[in-house]
Amino acid sequence: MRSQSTWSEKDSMLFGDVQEIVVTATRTERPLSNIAVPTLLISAKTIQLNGNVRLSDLLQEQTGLFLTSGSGSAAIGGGVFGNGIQIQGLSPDYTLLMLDSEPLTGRQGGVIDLSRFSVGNVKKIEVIKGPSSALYGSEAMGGVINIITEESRKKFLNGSVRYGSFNTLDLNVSSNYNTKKSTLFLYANHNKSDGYDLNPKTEEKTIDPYSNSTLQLKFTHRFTPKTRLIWNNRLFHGLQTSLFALGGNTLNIDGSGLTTDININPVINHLFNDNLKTSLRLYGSFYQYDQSLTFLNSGEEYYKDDFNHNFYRVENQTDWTWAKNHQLTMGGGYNVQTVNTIRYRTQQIQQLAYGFIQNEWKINENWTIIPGLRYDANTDFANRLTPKLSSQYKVNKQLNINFSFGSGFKAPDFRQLYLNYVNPAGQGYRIYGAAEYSLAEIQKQNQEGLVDRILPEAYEIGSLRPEMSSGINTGFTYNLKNKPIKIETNLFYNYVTDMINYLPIAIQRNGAFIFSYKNINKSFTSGAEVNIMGQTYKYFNWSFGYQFLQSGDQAILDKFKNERVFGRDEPLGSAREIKRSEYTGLLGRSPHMLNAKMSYDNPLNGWAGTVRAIYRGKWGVVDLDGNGFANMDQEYANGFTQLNASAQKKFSKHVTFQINLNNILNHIDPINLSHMSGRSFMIGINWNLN
Amino acid sequence: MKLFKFLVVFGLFLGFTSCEKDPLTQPKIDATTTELLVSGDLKSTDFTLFSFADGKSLPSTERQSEKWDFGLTGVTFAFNSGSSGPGKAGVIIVQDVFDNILEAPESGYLADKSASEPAVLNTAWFTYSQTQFSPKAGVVFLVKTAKGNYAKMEVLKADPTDDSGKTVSPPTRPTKFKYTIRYVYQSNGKRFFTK
Repeated sequence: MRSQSTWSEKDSMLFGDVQEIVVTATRTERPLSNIAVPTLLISAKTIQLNGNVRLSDLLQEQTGLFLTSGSGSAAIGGGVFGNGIQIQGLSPDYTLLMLDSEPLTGRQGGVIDLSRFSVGNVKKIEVIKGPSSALYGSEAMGGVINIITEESRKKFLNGSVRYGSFNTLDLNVSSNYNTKKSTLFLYANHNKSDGYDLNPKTEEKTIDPYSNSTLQLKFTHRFTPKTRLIWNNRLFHGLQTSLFALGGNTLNIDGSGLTTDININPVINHLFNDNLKTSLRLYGSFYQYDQSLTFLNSGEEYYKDDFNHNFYRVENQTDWTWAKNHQLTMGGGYNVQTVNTIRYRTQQIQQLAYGFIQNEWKINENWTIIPGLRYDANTDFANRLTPKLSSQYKVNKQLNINFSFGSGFKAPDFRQLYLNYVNPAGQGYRIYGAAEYSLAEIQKQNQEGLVDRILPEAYEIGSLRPEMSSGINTGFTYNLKNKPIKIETNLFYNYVTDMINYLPIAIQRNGAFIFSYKNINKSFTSGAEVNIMGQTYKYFNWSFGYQFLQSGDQAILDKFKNERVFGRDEPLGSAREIKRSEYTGLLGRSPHMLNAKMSYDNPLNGWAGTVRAIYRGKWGVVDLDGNGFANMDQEYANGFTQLNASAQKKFSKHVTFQINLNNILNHIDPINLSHMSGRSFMIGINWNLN
Repeated sequence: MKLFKFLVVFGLFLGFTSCEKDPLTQPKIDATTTELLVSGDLKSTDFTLFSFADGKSLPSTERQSEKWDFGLTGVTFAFNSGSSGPGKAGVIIVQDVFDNILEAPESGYLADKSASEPAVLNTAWFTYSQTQFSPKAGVVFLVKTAKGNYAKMEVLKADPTDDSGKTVSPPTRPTKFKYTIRYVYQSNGKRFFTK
């Protein structure tokens, strides 16, 4: 789905005279209008007009994307899980996040914190919705988010300073240096904030102070007219301090979390001829999160972990137009990943080899079908074959019909396999990853008296299978004939099986559970998405988006069919039987999500601005009555409307002044929306010296 | 003659039923909701004991008496019989709407066999996530008391708290659990929860 502001000032662009190019959908450059899968394209222009600073702020304003809130404080689980994006109702750990088409690592509790990515040098962001594992493998179940950074050879020097509420400071510098054959891009960002406190009743802040720096160096070199090197390097350094009250109201623990994330990615592209090209991609990603928490009064250690996740990949992709109407995309690669943390017994290593093939077949001028297949073979869990089929039919100049079917999978993650951990603070529970678990060990502990009772589930733990999904997407895009208005729709259905859950398998002598992981749940998400966008007057663009979402847990649906389901209407109310029609689906899914935007951009007088509203209908957050879903008011987070606005004025060719107001309606919810500060502002100035 | 016999039997039947009112049609005994603060130490064997007849908790020193019906520590239940106490208590867990249960079964009550084989398993009555204890709605404890009376009970809430009963959330280790239970006690030895 095309983001509204990607249309620029000229009416003609609305109708695709200037093609917007997407690479993520097919792993080849294609005009957006030819893409058969639901695709959202967000341009640098959109980001600039909105005044978004961080990736999380930007994505949550898009249709159907739901920002999940992590805990801002280090107090929960000893880690900051951060803010992830739900696509089509599938959790953040089912979304593959890529930077310049390479996967980002550093998932904490399954989530990559999107607020750690600044969007200052982003050329565009492509979001593919629906299963895409046939091209990208594990994690691409709900979709793919690909952040593509600037690569223009046009000389530029850009700097900006922004300052706002909570002492937030954002500095950006970007530039490039050209020789005849080479370009060097530099980007530096520094973002710091004092954090904020949404709940004055508690001593600790909702979001602790942080300070993030990003440095990116991209080097391109043209060896010959047909051979080009693109070498991308990124360094992220983030520090978050924490201070919280454990076991009472007195601040008694302080410490810090230090994130270092280094990505090194040389790519060589070679064009053999007009019909054959190939690329060799090397990628290394080094993620480190060092957390240290100590008791304030005694200086005693409360928690300390140096979490390391390294990822190495070599990959080749070859595109071959083997007939006039057939283009073959094929490739393969090999990954090695290592993870080290005190939560695992030893350093863990995983290896994976894969191959993929996709053929784009233009049956005739109007009809294209793209079948694809990928095979993943690896050391630690079952091999996986994932197919995908997508098709586009152009009925006429105005109307395109799209259909795609695909499967997705998510490999058991490191924690599900290797966790070997006793919670020091909580209930003293213990968790074994499935690969660390041994029934014999539990039985031995039972005989030694460390384990009080072995539960029946203990006998069912075995090797984990990847989580699997199948998804169907179908919709149309329609451009009105005489008006600059475009309508896009998509219906989707995702069915996820073999979902990995933790479950109690034994009870320790201290009464606390031992948990392990098993493929248990099945669930579905389905819904409809509509986007309408258009232009009213010359410089005004508007857009409206809506997603309706339904979801369900298969075990609960079966229980409705075969047994009786109970619930309470209030926490201390009497239980009653709940009907199937009252079932609200999975927790954490907002059934109604709306967004509307009006933007103004007048190149003649230099004024521009946006007003953006997003609405999220109430969603279940907790199960208080043990039935697995939300049915009473107290189990929901309140729905909300967030209103953001930006205004900017270009004073000269070089200087732009901008002001942003965020969360103007001041909706706050410390528990469920810790990422949303109260009403806040930011002012900024941007220099553009060409 | 046959008709006469029938009339006699029929008359006797009518007389019998009109004397003995159907207990299921009588007004229900009102339920009582109460709170219990119990040890939050999951290793603890220090049960907080509860007596339906008194409607209040008793200190654990009464463990060897017949004064208590069930005990709670952490998330573990004990009933006053079997390995847990000298009484005649027992329990049956059913899935039903609390208010709709008007009659306790005659038999089938389970007793604790040992600390590792309690009559009520944790998984029978609550679900647990790392941040939340959730007693399952629709789980009703049908209890035969230590002295052989009957009661029905449901757990409405189980909050991890500090010593003062103020709710704490993980990762803070709770020192207590505050339970809110709802029960109906029939003191006359009958199995019907009606007046």
